[in-house]
Amino acid sequence: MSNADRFAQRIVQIDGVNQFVLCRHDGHVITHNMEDCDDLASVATICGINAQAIQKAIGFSGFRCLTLKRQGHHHCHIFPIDKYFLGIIQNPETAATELVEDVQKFLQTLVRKKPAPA
Amino acid sequence: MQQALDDLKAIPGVVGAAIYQAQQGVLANNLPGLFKPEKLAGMGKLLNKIFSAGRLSFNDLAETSLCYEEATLITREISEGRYIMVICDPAANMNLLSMSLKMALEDLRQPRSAAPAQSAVTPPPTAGQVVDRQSPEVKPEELMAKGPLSTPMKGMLQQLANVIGPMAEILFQDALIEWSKTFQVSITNLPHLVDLVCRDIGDNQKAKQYRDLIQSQLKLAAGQG
Repeated sequence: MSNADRFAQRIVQIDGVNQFVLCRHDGHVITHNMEDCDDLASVATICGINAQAIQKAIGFSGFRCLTLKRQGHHHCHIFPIDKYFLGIIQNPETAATELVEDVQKFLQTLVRKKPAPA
Repeated sequence: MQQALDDLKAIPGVVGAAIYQAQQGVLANNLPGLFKPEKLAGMGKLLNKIFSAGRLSFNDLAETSLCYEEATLITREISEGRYIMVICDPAANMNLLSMSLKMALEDLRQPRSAAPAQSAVTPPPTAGQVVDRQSPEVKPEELMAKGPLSTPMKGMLQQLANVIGPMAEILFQDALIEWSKTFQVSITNLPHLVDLVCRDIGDNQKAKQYRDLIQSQLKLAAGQG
């Protein structure tokens, strides 16, 4: 099983994650669980890059998450992970704040497991 | 406009807010000085891109919430290409902020469609005063630059700047465009322009101050016209 498959297996276990796509900063899709992931991958990439640009322009630190709130409550959340962006469409019944916290906790475990540079 | 931003800033945890228009840049803000105008304009441009990209995929997009370690940035669209951006502490009460933001949006959207608030002071336009919608659009710059209205209008703008500060020019231009579309462009209709400006000032005390300051200028202009 590849790392991408392992990631996909874990991320869908988080309560409230309906659809997801993991893509590189250049928009290249790494893994997803959607029939057509192109739209979400594009949104995650464009919005993620612009969110990081705001961070640089204003001088904020640590871009954590971008939420696109929708009237139908199928909110879209975009998270930065190293040189990737993770885009998630949530279940409308789930509380957005809890989902964001759960995903961030999961992503932090990945960052911690990264081997230190030699 | 400024009043709506100040109301938002009164909420605990809110650092300040700004209104951004895609073509005109930042129209108003009450953020601390470290958010320099050029930085705010850059931020507005990037948020506009985020909102536009989101809208392409989700046509029911209502709000974007951008979380950084030390701040959260919330953006809502007032009308096409015009946004309100609020910067707050991540620990701020988001439900309270969300409700206040909705109320602010209602306020900001209202003036464009509502009747002038000062209509009791100046009688509504008669058939002769109202301009035919098909008539060519008058450019504010031309009205200010030449012709019989140039001097009184420059005076009106100057007094407005004395009352509300650097936002005066933008507010005056917006009111001037609306006035020229609704009324016949003439000295006798200048009181209607004053009404529109006072409505857009959005602060009764400042509106009264402006009206008092402008009174003598209008009398002088009417005497010349």
